[in-house]
Amino acid sequence: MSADKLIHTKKYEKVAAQVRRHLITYVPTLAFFFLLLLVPVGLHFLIKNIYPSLLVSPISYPLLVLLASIYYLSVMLFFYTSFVEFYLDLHILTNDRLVDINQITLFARKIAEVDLYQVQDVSSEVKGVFATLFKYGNVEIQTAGTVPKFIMENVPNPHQLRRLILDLTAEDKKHHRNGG
Amino acid sequence: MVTVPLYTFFFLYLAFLVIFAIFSFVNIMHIIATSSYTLTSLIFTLATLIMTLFIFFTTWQLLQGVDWQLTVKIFDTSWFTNIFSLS
Repeated sequence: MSADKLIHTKKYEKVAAQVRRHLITYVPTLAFFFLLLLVPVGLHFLIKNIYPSLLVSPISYPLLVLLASIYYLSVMLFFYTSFVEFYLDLHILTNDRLVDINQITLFARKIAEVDLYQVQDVSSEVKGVFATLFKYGNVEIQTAGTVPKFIMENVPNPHQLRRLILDLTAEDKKHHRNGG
Repeated sequence: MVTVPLYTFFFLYLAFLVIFAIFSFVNIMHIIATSSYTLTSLIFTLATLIMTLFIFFTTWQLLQGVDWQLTVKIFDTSWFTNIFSLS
């Protein structure tokens, strides 16, 4: 499904940008999962040194293999689920509105949208060593809509995005003033 | 004394695999249904799939030659009868 179909764009509406969090912000989670993968390896060496009979017993050995398999598959499942929750946080900017899709958990999603002519103020911030090096940061949008503030967290090139939002907002406000 | 055959635990493992498959399928459907079908998500999905298949293959290899008909004692009253005796 394309972004146009996802947000049911109107006839005159064009998608200007689809923004997700910068991939570099997922690296700490990746590192944590790699550490989790090493836990059974460590336990194997521990059992080998303390209870080596457990690794050769015809009862305990298959049970340990099944347990380790369940553990690794669980880690893979949690890793993939966390990636889906990370990657499905999406901001779609069109020439008419901003749609904010927030995947809270696997079975919980929040979608908020605001028409661009209701945008009052846009600010962008890049804070920290990694954020400066990899050019990501937050964009904060103040609106006159139901949701007073949108925050786009850890998005790539936030200053460029801020300018794009302001340009599109100015165009949309001109369009509404002209009664289009 | 309560004993179960070793293959009981293999069936429990298979039940876990069913749950694993269901949640994996839900994850993939989320990606397809939300316009997130990109090169990045494809790479992550393929990497997860390859590692999952590697886990299955390694598990199958390690379980070669296991006698699943052996019985496992899961409860025995003798574990508790002498708990409170002084000798």
